[in-house]
Formats: sequence, structure tokens, C-alpha cells
Amino acid sequence: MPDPGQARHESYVVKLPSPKPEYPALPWTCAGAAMINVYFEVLKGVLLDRLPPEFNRTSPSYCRLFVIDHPNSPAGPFREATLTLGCRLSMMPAAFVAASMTENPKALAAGLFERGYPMGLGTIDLELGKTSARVSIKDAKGPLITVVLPSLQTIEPGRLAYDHVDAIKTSADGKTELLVTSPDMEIDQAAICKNARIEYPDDLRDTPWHILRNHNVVSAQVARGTRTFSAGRQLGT
Amino acid sequence: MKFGIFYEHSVVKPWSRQSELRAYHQALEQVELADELGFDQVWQVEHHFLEEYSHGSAPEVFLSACAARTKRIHICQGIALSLPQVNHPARIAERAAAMDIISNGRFQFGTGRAATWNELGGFRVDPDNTKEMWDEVVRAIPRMWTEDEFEWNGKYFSMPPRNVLPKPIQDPHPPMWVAVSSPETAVQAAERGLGMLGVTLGTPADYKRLVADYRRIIKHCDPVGKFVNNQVNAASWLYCGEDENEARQVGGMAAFQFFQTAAHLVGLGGIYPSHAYTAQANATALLSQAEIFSLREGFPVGSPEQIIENLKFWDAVGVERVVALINFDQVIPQAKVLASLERFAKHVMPHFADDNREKADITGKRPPEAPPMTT
Repeated sequence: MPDPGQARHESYVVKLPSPKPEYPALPWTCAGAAMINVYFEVLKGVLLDRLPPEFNRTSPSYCRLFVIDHPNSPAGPFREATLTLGCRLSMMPAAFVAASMTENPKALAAGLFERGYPMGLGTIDLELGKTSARVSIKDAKGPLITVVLPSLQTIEPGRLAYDHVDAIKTSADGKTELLVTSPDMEIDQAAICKNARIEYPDDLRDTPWHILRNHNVVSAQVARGTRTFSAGRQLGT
Repeated sequence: MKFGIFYEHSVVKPWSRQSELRAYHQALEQVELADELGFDQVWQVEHHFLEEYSHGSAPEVFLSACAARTKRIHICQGIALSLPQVNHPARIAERAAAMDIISNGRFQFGTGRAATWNELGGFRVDPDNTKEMWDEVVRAIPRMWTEDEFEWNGKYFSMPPRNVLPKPIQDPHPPMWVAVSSPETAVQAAERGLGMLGVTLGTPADYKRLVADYRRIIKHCDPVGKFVNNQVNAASWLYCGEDENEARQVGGMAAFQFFQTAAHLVGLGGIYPSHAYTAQANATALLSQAEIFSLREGFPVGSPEQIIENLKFWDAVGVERVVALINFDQVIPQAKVLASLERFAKHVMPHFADDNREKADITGKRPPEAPPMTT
């Protein structure tokens, strides 16, 4: 049986803001959303270090990074960048959130209290045209990662399918809960990029964004449609 | 109906220096016994980098060892990964011919193009091009076997005029097959006059449809080789137990181990949307086919009586042969594997020996002289 994850849930505990910030009730239906998604290979050891034991790694080990732009949402415009670990949960494909950020405080609050991600604030610069795309992600300490899609080819929207995303949410009592959010984008338009690249700054840091470094880009896609930003639910429900 | 065995050389963790040694040498012992018992074919896959699932990346080596140890069983490459970036077509043709010689004309040649990111990504093959690559290779290889001066200027490989040696001893060449895991590939197999290695994990109904389409289309094929191979092999598991309970516990365990190990591979459909790989391997799609993970109709796992009953399914589908995994991840002890083979040969095979069905004709029409290939 391929190796199970070795991360303790406690390593994903976050300090919840108090008092609890206000945010519009979930789910948020966000029309006109756009997503950049890239799959890339990573070393198995660093993936297993961050994967909870409920999940098993795949062969090879890979990550899925997706950035979603929501120009319209009940919380105002916001972008979300999420780095997930490709894995298996009871033999089924899954993606576990290793790191995630947003620029919008209300989206952050909803993430922390309702679904386990996003988990922090950052800066997400996005350029999305008809034939190319580029996204750069930064936190308070500086640049983290840039994804460049130099050329896009239109494909049928039905070709794209994304699995549920699993994340650890911190409860008010400091305990952890493993939640799942469903594939939550209705895709109207889709494109693939066959020469995507991932770039890192020269000074790499001790952050999941850099530790889970790309060793081989697998594929990259752009999708446009309606995204539903929803609360997580317990596994098995 | 005939019966064969096939090998992934799966090796479950934890690994030791002896793990792969044991798997390979136990397999050789099994093949020797299968040859004595009257099994018709032994196949080995070609997979690369598939941890636990398959450590069988050099089928030519294993199959040559099988040929040297056996007298009757056919030695079958299932498959030769027919992508020039992985295997140059001339090297494929050379090794195949050598195996045909070593086996005294018992070699059969299966082809395919891989379906995992492990393999295609590992060799930096563009998944979108694999169908075209495979098609070019299966057209070139029969000509390498039968022409003294072979030249090729294709889209995915080219060669100046050369005599590819050795030549196979089967005349005009070994039967050719292709691994089929989708309806589209079944059609392509039939159109090209290639035998169908059914490796689909689909439902029994899927198998019936595939075979029916294949039989209909191959009657009017334009073969890539010098003759038509219109045989159909079904792939399954085999464990012939002392009784139904023992068989379910032992054989069922091996089958489940297969699914569990296979589930952790990264299939193309899951992370690389490609028109060349239409099956989406995401969770939503897989959950809608939950029955593919269970032992079901047609699986020859059970007591001898139960297996005879189960094999009637394949009789009805009309396959020439059932080819089976007889262990997986080495979870079944060797003694039990050998006992299963003996029990199957003694109690099950005789029921299918006198077969009055219309025999597959692998020496069908010969195509007209092909024009020289030019760019």
C-alpha cells in the first residue's frame, strides 16, 4: 500500500481571530469567476511530511495549485490561491490543502470558520487574457510563486473535472476537524496550456509554497464559469 | 476456450533486496508449471516507475527466460510500449524477433501506449500524441520483419534504409495484438486487424459491447500486418480454491490488492485533460462505477464448480481465451498459487477443451503490396 501521510493535524492549527469577524453567510455564488489550475510533481518526502495519515500519497507525488478570481461575490471581489497535495482517500482521488491565501478579509474569515481554507492573507496578481495568463502570489515577506501560461488552447469545458478538496479546520476550542468541499465550479469556457512554467524567487523560504517545489509540470488549465464558495462538511456526510 | 496467465510483477511494500528476486523467480516456477498443465499463453506487461503495482519493465528478459524453460506455452509480450521516445521501433522489432527465435516460433506481439502519468511523464512523452505514435509504430514493425531493406520517414521517427535483424521465424511474422481499455481502442484494433487484449476495468456489459463491435468491424479491416489476428483475450483474475470460501478469501484478497494498488497510480485522465485519453479518473467519475471494484460475474475465482459456472460468461461473450493474474503483490503464498493452477487444469480446463465454436482465423486475408512510405 502506498505510504500514508505523516503530518499531525495539530500542525495545521491556526489562531482564530476573536471576536469572530462578520462575513456574508455561505454559500456564495460567484458568477464570472476565472480559475488558473496547474498540476506539478513534487518529491514524495516533502509531500508526506504535510499530508495527514487519513490520506495516502500517489505515485508519483504531485500538487495541484489553483487560483480563483471572483470579481462578483457577496463579500466583494476576492482572489484565492490554494496549494493542495494530490493524494488518495480510501482509494479515491483527493486534494488536501497544504497552504491557501486570499486578499479579502471577509473571505479569509469565512475560510477559517467554515471550511478550513483560505488560511492567511496575501497578494495575488492575476493577468488573464484570451491567449495567455500569469499569476503571482506573495505574502507579507515577499514573492512566493509565479505561474506563467504563455499560450492557451481552447478545449471543451467538459474535459475538465476537479475533485473534492479536503482541509483541516480549527474549531473554537482549538481542536481540529477534517472537512471536505465539493468540486464547486460550473465551467463554461476552458483552455489548456502545454508549456506552462512555475517560477520561484532566488531566496527560497521555509514555507509550503517553496518546500513543495515543482519538479515537473504536468498540466495547466484555465477555466471560466460560476464558482460556489461553500462551507465544508465532514467526511462521509 | 483457452487459458493463459499474465504478469505485472507487482511487489508490495515493505521492500527488501529479496522482494523483486522472489517475485520474478516464483513467476518463472509458475510459468514452468503452467506449460506442463496446458495453459496456452503467458504474457508480461511493460510498465515503468509504477511502485508496487508493476516492477515489470523488461518483458523481453523475463519472457526469454520463460521461453528457455518451457516447450509449448506461447510467449507473449503484453505489451511492447510502442512509443518511439520510450522504445525505438527498430529495437522493438529486433527484440521481438529474437524472442521468436529463442522460443522456436512461440512468440506473440502485443502493443500499446501506456495510460499513466508516471510513465508518459517519466519519458516526457506528450500524451496527446500517443495514439498517432502507436499507429505509426504498429505499421512500421511488420515491415521491418518482412523487408530486407526498410526505410521510414514518419511523423514520429525516421530511418534510412536498413535491414532490421534478426527476422522472426514465424512466417510471415508473429501474431500482433493491442491492449484495449476503451471502446475507441477496440475499434482501432479491429480496423487494423490486430488481436484484442481486453484489459478494461469496465462492467461485464462493457466487455460484451467491446467484443461485439470488434467482431463486426474486423471483418472489413485493413490490416497493418501481413495477416489478420482476430482473436480476443479477456483479462481477469484466477484463483481455483479448495472451496468457495477459501477461494474468496485468498483470490478475492489478491483482486482487492490490485484495485488498492492501482488506485494510487496517477492516471492520465485525472490530471491531464487529453483527447487521447477519454476516461476521467476523478473521484466523481470513479464512484459512479463502484461495481468495477468488486468481484463480479465472469471472474474465475472460486471453487472449480463455481469457476466453470463463472467462465460461461466469457463463453457467451465469445472470447477465444481468458488470461489471468494468478497473484498480486505476492499476497498469495507460492504453494497456494501452484495448487490453484493444478486444480484449475485438472477440474476446469477439461470442460472447455472440446470447443465447437467457430475458431478464430489468425491467418486471414493478406493485404496487397503496400506502397513505399513517404513524408
